[in-house]
Amino acid sequence: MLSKEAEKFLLNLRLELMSRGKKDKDIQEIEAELRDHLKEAEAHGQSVESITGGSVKDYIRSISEELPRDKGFIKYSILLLIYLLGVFIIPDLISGDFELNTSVILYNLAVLAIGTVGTIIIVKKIVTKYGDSKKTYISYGIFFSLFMASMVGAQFIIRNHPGIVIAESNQSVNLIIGAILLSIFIIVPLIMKQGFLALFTFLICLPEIIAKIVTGGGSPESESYVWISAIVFFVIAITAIGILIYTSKKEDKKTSN
Amino acid sequence: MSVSDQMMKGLLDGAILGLISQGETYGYEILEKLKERDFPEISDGSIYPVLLRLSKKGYVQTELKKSDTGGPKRKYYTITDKGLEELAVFRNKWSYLNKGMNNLMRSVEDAK
Repeated sequence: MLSKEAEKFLLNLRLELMSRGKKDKDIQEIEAELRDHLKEAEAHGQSVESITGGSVKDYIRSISEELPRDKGFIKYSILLLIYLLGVFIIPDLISGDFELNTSVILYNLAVLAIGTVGTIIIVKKIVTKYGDSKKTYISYGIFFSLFMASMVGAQFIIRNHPGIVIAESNQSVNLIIGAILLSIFIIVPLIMKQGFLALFTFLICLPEIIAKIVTGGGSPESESYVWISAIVFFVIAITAIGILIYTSKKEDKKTSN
Repeated sequence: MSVSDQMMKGLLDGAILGLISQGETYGYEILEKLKERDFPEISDGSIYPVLLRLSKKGYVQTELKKSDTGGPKRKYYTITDKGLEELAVFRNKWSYLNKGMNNLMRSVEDAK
């Protein structure tokens, strides 16, 4: 059993190497090797500092320099950005509420930047400070709640201040484009054997699809449409969180046995 | 990085390669052996970037085996033919360097 300090160091190492695009296999190997070393070192009364020589940051950098970058890292990062952009836009297209204007472009760019780079930086900072503790999960919760709240707030601002409208079309054209993009964003991840991403795209769009069907193609601003999509979204979110908690508890049980 | 730090970094590669050439070994054991032989000024973790570098260059090969303590599998290192060739080059260069540096440092001391 390793000390909390050692576990925190290994977690930092893993996150740092992951964010630098190193191969999963290499990360697992060096983590296992350092874990083995730390077990012996701690059994002989030494601390993590004996490994890092004082600066965790410098030490992780020295390890990182010797590990090759995963060649697919940049390709997958670009694909992930396109995927996220799709996930943000497709539900609006299906609801028929989509309009391409400068505010929408700025909003999506900001969400992508904060949602990817920002999240990596914040998550790394939180883990570096608190390690694998309750404080970390609470900080994650606060960060993501603030992030979601800002997204909702920004949506209201966009509706009231659309800026320069670049392209707009009627609801049926939006719906057709949305349906085509939805099919692409489900089929391509399935071909790439990324079933989770395909399912995630579908679940994100499901509230709009159900609301559209139930209201008989009603306006996304009508009260019944808003209620139905909100309820479906809530049910999906609760179910997903429930499944995640159940599987993580099952995994914990498996590991402790 | 200071001159002495750079020198130590280069020497550590050769020292670790030399230790691995004496028989199959693993990270913590390499460190213990370095300490036993009074190899100066190394932090315990500094051997791992070196091991990664030696492995990347094909001078050593690794194998995961059950450890004596019965814990999870441990990574063991052995030297390759390429590593033996590199070690021979290192030893040769080191003996020249050692001789040259000793002569030079003696003349520095004499000048004092």
